[in-house]
Amino acid sequence: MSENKWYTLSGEQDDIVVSSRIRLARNLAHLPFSSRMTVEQRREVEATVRDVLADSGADLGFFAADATSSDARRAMAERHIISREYAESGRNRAMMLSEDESVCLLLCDTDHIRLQVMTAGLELTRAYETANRLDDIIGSAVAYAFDEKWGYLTECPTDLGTGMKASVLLHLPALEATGGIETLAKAVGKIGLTLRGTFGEGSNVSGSLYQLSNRITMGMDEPSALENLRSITLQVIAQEVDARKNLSALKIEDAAYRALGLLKHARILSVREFTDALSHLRLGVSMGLVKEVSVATINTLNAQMHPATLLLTHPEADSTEKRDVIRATKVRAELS
Amino acid sequence: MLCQRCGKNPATTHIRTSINGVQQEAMLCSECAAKEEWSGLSSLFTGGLLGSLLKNDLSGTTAAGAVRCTRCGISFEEIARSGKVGCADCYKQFRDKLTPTVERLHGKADHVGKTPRRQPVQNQKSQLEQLKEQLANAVEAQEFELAAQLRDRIREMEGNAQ
Repeated sequence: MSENKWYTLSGEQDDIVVSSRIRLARNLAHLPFSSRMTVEQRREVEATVRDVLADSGADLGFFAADATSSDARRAMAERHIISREYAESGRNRAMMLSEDESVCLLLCDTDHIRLQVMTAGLELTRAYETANRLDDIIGSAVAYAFDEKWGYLTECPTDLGTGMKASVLLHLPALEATGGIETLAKAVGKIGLTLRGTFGEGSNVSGSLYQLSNRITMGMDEPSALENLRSITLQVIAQEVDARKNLSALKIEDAAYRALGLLKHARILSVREFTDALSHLRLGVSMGLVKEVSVATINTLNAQMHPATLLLTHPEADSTEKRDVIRATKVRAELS
Repeated sequence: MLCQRCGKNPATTHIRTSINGVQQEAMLCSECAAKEEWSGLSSLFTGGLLGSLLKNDLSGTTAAGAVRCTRCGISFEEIARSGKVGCADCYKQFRDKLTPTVERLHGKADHVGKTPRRQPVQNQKSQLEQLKEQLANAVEAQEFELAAQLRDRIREMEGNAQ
């Protein structure tokens, strides 16, 4: 299932920037917002968006409301297609998804349309161009709820303005190891950005992956917001690279090869072990200390081996124990 | 009191959420509250933080005399409680009440950036209303041919709007 997916491709700085994401919140002017819609009104939005995009030639699959299983939604959350909060909420809205999973439209959830585009690496502008093009196609056919002063009108006033949220997923093991994350989070917080750990269990951030996103949607146009996020991302990358110099290269190389050994030979592999090993390996690859594995392979592994995604491809993997065995087998095959 | 989630640390944060109208409250420690934020910032915003922010603007209104949005029927109290605005018109009808909250969230800035390709709502509506008036007049004057033409144009416009 990994063939031709967005995460198997390369992008700028993709050893540290795992992915870039753009999300646009849009509502149709003539209907109440999602929480006050009737079922018929929801169907109207679904049919409208579906028809408009079908005519445009955008190759998007349509999944009706209540059509996706909770396991499928959990798997999508693992691959960052939808938020974990939504996947666990029990809500089951209609969605549209491109074959490569880079484009997703969630319909009639928090807003009538939540349009999301993902790319590998630091490619915010490219992701925005795709989102903008699809937004124009929909916006040419329907009238969006819009106000001269407050911009795109959204169900939650926090999204007013551009309705755009841009974010990058960063691998920051050295900043984490040298205790720089908290300082960094405070610093970016002062300039309208948010840095937070992702996919942790408990209070631990697993895999040293952090999401940096823009909070400002009002008073700053889209290109400026993207440039702002991009330039701060480049500074964070520089800080991470700097912090790596304070770590022993030999220890990093050792940890990366131990991780590679584990991944290549383990017969039972828990999510935790897998995520930690992949993080060490990514750092080794990023620093040029390990050459036999590519960043794309690491991203592909990362997208495939989480529990719900495994369950989707291997229905027999109905327990943690079975999944740990299947994960080990698949990882070995991928790296051999 | 101890955190209701982990039961270990002292509770320092009061979190209130509303999911599909069901209110939930919890006293959490900062660690669990941070997790809550991490796992669902939007849900926290809609129910808790934003709701309490909006409630600051509830001064002088009572449930009995609640003003409701003429389009979707929501009252400002309900918006404040859920943190969710009912429809695009609410932003016009409750503009004065929403302004302080919007300014707290976004500062005094106005929107800059993209505008929609199509903004016919206002024009089309007034045009539609004009046509409906003309239709009523035509029917009253028994000008049925004109009325039929107007009716077809109204149908066409309403069809386009959907």
